[in-house]
Amino acid sequence: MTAFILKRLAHSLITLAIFLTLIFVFVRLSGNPADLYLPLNSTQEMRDAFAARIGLDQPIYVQFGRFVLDLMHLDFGDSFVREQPAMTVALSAFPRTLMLAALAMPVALLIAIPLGSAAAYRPFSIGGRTATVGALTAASVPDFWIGIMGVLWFSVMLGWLPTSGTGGWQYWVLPVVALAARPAGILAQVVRGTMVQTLASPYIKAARAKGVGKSALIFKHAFRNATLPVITVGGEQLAGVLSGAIVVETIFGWPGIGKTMIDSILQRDFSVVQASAVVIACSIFLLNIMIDILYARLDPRIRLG
Amino acid sequence: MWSGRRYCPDVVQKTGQSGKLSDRIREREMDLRQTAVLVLSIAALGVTIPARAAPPDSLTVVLPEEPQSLELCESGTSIRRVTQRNVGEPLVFRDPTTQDLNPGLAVSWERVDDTTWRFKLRDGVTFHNGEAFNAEAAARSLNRTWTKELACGVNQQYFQGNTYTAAAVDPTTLEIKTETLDAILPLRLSFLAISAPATPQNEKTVEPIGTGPYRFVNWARGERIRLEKYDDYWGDAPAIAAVDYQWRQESSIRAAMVQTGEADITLSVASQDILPEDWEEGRAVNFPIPGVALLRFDMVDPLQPISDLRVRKAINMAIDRQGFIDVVFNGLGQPANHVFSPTTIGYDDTVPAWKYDPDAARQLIEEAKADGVAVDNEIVIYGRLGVYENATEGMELVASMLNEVGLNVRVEMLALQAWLGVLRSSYEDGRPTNMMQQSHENVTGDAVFTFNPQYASTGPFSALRDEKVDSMIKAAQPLSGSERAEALKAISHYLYTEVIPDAPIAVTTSTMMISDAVSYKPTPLSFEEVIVSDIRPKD
Repeated sequence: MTAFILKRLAHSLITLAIFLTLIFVFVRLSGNPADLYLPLNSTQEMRDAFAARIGLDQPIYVQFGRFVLDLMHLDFGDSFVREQPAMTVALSAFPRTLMLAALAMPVALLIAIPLGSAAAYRPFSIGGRTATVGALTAASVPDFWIGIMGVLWFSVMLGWLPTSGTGGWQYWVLPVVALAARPAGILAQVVRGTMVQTLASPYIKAARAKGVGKSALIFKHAFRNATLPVITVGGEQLAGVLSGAIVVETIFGWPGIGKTMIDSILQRDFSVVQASAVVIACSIFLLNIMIDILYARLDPRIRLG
Repeated sequence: MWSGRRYCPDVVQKTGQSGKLSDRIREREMDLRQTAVLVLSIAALGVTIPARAAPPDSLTVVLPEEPQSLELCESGTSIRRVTQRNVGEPLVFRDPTTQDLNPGLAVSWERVDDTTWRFKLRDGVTFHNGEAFNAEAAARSLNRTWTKELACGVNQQYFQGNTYTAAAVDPTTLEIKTETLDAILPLRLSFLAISAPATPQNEKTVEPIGTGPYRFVNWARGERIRLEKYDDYWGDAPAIAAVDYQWRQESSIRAAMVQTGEADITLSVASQDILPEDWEEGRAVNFPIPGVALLRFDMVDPLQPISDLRVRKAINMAIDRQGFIDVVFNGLGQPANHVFSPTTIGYDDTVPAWKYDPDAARQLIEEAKADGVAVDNEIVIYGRLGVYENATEGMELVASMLNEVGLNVRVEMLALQAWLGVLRSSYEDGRPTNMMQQSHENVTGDAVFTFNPQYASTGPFSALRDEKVDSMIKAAQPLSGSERAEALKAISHYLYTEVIPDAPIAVTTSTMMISDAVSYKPTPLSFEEVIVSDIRPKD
């Protein structure tokens, strides 16, 4: 197990290095921060002075060398907008996104498992078809649309929930639902597909012949074997939620890492973009390792090494 | 011409005045609401309804973006919306409607000689940290802003082209020396808020200390900024005890926050996010701003066919300005013939408005073609994405109007960085004949702040190299009063009747939403300055 984790970490470091290099290049290709930070009518002299202040006056290879050296000291530089260490900015925003994702995924699973199972048990019934269409719709509708419609209905028309922002539990409902809808739809489709296969297998037929009840048949006998693909896709969806909460966070004014990253990209605050990308990448690597371990625990045929 | 509150005519016509249709819409809305209540009430057991009215003594303002900084010497719109005249105050207050300069932290001022101004300062003023405001403190703050190394936005935007030094003569007398004559120094100073001596002299700060009616309390990054009433304020005590600033990028969410009572004021709301009843009940207010949407012609070593005056006139005549306003700005705006608003000093009433006349435009182009002008050459409109609402559709519309009269126009929409790149390198050989989509805002009320960047040969947005314009601007700058106004009008007349360096399209407007809990009358500067003292709770 330890050897497996070390091996995965080594692989992750190589990927991370490539990823960081790409981020370094791409954020610089996106333009000069002086154009956004200074007034539009600023002179070339002012833009040059600004570039010198934040170290962008050096050739790109010098900037990269400095970036690599700083990374070795785990120094991601300072945010020139917030005048704070970039990693502090990223790490202070990350827990908010993590909590959002941690709520959204159970909600998605709670919707997906019964929905997918119902669709699989009687696939051609009205209920089964409705569940299939519902799953497809949830997987297809963009999260920003769900968010804005949610605000229109539950905040403006009914007045039940706040439109956006942070605070008590009411503030979590709309962002969590908007974030959970797509994974719920995708996972429901996965559950349905796997359950259809599993329910057709001989051991289920045998159980049915022995008179096992409907609930026990689905949740005790069939679902356990249908869990593995759900974990795989669920892990991917969780990674997607972590890295893709940008839209939901922007709509709801949620101060998570997605919002921080998009604001930093718009302001060309390169250090924060890099630090945020590293935080998200590391969390996804850790998530993948955890999924591998979980996989091995659930399926004795799989060995880590 | 403009009233403080205005209904959206389109919306009223579609829903408010045509009774049957509006009844059907309302009935359908009621059905939807009842159905929604029935279905969702099961799920909502135990849910408490959030408060829909703001506490009367505190205010929530929701902005389109989080400020980059709260430094008083910065000039960004997102910063000024929070700080200007709330936390920090300038020596001179400017009335955004009448353009009058009124006493601020200075009670009076005079020009002693060509390069010296003297300001008599207000007595009994203190900064939020308890420090006394006096000439020494004012000089320190001004000199800090003018320090080149600090790269303050206010300095870059309003004080370029001269050198300024401030010194205290006595505790209530401040002297400012300039290298060359500056006739409008008090106007420039109306954009510069005075910060306390405790402010770091050589670095910027995120905790502003000013003399304004509100003191900075805290800034929860990414969430909110809080200001509270300053009890020792020298002027009238404001009616609102505290103000919270939040920000939402989505216009629909900002509108929803006011509709639900979560926020009291929001800015820059897109017309499609406003409900008919918001217009009818006065929650949505449209007001003119000192901005103009325009097309700038590339006049540096001009390429055909834009080099020909007849073609430039034809372009202006081929644009249906009212049609543009109706389609792009939902009918909110005024046709323009200057690149600044009619309230700006230097606006020349004698410049005729461009009349939409495609036949006459076609004829001018035919004449130019007969004289050998290459009217078939492609003209590229470099549009700027998001420069105003429906910017892309607007440029497509203009291109179709110009193609209709016989020109060959293509639109290329660019993000800000790429657009700036084209703007700053648009004088290179081999470039296509081009026009740039621009939105020019002159918040100073003085046309020099348009002429210098837009038309002077050295201006950052200028695509004009005209010695006569340069000398006219240079001659007008030292003047003041009516002499200045006349000189600036003469420049306008020359530019907009003889040179035709651009096609001004529309004086733009902005829409803000105000909750039922407060009353506020927007000024032309309310899109970037919301003075909280002007907001009153409703009884």
